[in-house]
Amino acid sequence: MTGLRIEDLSHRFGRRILFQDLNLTLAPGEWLAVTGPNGSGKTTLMRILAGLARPTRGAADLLYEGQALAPAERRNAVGLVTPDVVLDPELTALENLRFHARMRGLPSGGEADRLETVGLGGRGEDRVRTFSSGMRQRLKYAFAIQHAPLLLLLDEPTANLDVVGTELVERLRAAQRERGLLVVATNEPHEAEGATHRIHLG
Amino acid sequence: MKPQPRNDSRPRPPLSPDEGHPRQSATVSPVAPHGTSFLQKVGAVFTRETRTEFRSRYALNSIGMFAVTTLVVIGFSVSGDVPRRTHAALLWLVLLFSAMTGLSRIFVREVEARTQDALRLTADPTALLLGKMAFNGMLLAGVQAVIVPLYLLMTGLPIRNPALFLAVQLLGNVGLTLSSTLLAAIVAKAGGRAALFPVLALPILMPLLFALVAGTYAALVPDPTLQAGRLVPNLLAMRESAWAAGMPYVRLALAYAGMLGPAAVLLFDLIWNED
Repeated sequence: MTGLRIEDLSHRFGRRILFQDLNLTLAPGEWLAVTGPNGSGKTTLMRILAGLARPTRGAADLLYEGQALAPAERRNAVGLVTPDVVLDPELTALENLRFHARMRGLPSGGEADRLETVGLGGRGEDRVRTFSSGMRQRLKYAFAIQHAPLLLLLDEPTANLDVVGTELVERLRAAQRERGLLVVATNEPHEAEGATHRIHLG
Repeated sequence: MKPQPRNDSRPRPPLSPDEGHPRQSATVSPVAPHGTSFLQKVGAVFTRETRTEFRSRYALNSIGMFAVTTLVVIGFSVSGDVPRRTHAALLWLVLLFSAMTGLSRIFVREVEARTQDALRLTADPTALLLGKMAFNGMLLAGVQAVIVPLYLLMTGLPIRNPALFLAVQLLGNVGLTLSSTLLAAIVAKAGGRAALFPVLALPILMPLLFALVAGTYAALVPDPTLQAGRLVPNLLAMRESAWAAGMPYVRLALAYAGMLGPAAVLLFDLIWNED
């Protein structure tokens, strides 16, 4: 089996319980919407799913052909777009993508195409510090999809994006649903429409 | 709370290469492509660090300012009758504090720029550590290349064994690089409080500094006005060669680096992945 398996997942900060005993299995082609008010734990859940944080209890395993992926394999299987993930402002967009492609073990080339895809064609040689918040959000998408991840995690997916950017996100979401697993954390009800699974926090 | 399964009735557009996915398959394989060797990853981290530093110049500026200030103060205030073992200590103190102002930034910078999560998502922790160590080592070598000749020129210190002197400098570079890079990672995880760095560093660096000061002293021409051997009594008293006098400290510095290197690699994974 290939998919995302969440078992008895619980997390708390001190005495405050963010979520408790979440159970879910997500198969390819399915997608999960995580909703809830600000501070309900959506971003924490996304960080746990990405392997960036450990849950207080339970597990969130990414399965490939029945085997839970080890941390090193998981790095190559997860793409994450969230306000917490920031690319190096001192490097250009292309330098950032090339660096992370190399870290992911991807063959060189293709970074300019990724930028073209997210609407940043022609801005690859500009330093990220000169980018607007919307451009940085687009760059995060290029970063998140450059390795064709099995699991794509989108936290506040359309934050800072204009109409064209929002349409781009919709296309990327649709493509990911066709080819792997998708989890979207959002405050916007329309962004959760059509989810095959839903978790409401808070 | 249990997730509620729902039906997805939305139309799904066909998968297109234009969507930015380099590989096409019904289900993506997470097996890592092997387009980059471990050494290439280390090199990529080193290149990234070099680029960001030469663009921001934060470490270079802070190291440069500290080095110039301390060298000028020492040049004006230290007279010719200062014992040479004091010179050896002063030289390493200037190097240590100049380096600390820059080397401690290597991970704190990631916290301040919030680039840490992106690195954790993609980078092999060991490759990241070694790449950052290589950069810190280069930075420290640059500091040594400027400060040591200036110090020798300003104080007129005679060296009786240049090879031993250089060997101690090299071991100092390795030991300080290993310890400061690992400590910088710990400090970054403690909320990036740079003030913690010297507090943690000084006790850990004490054995290394002792070896470096004593080894440097052994490489200098003995001070004729001193009773031989306050710092290394037996060896200097016997008037053995500089190598013989310095070798115990060279071994101590080697042992320090030999223990700290593997420990840093083993510990870093835990430190880096701690949320």
